[in-house]
Amino acid sequence: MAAVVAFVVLSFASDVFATQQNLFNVTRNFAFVAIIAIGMTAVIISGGIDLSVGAVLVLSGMVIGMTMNAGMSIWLRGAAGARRVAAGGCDQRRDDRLRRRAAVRGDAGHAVDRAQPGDGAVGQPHGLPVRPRPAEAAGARRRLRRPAAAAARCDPHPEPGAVSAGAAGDHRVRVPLHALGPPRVRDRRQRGRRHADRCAGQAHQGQRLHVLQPRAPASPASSRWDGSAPSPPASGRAWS
Amino acid sequence: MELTVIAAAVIGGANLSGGIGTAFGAVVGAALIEVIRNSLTLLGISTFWQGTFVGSFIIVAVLFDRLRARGANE
Repeated sequence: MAAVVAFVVLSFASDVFATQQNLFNVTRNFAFVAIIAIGMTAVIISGGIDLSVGAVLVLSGMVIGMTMNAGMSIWLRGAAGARRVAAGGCDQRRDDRLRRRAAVRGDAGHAVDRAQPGDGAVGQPHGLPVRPRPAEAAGARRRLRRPAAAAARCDPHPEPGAVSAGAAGDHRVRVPLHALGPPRVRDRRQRGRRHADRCAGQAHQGQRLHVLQPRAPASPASSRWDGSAPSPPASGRAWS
Repeated sequence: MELTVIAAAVIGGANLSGGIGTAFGAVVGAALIEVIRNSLTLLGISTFWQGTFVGSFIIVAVLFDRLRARGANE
């Protein structure tokens, strides 16, 4: 609305504004800002501000220019530029992850600058976890809701090479804490219990350790749910 | 570039504290910013003042946003 008003007023106020060359100039400058502003809107909606857009713009422009000079196809050029932009995004995500992990530990690393007075990280004797910012919590919930990831986390009988982090004799596989997402409740044990609820009574110890029962190498004829899966240890719930 | 882009997003209705904003609004904000920057050049104002104008746009847009939010609350 305001843009249309400004356009009309300017075309009357200045006899140069409504010329073809000037409009071409305006639209050419507008394209830069508009494309980046769309991405910046996504960042601002999620509660942050990206200060690296200028650098990413110039860097992707250089990458595209060099690949163009090397005679690559337009799609390859676009992919190279997008790769650069995605790398910037990965840096951002890794930074967020590190901060969230620091918040889970409750240490004073990155967490202090974003801890609110009532949050319970600063000055708390036990270093209770900082409540995550709403945007991060939403992202983590999205990840938790992703069925494949949730299934992989709750699967008591993983495929033989799927999650093979434990030692051969020790069937407990260490699940990294950040895979559980940021804490939604203050109490860590409560969170562990909630995770156990989500896994519907499957093997679960504490909050950090899953008890996973590796399958014996499946014979080609046996399917997954035909009852050939190894039974839990004979002692029943001895692992809990 | 950052200042211009943030101004475009904010003029387009994005809330700097997060949660609100549309992509279409960002495009409209970018159009407004560019039209006004172009007109500043045409009217003979030094390009060094463009940052001042864009920054004041951000302030005015946030002010309008706050006023609107306050009106919605009361």
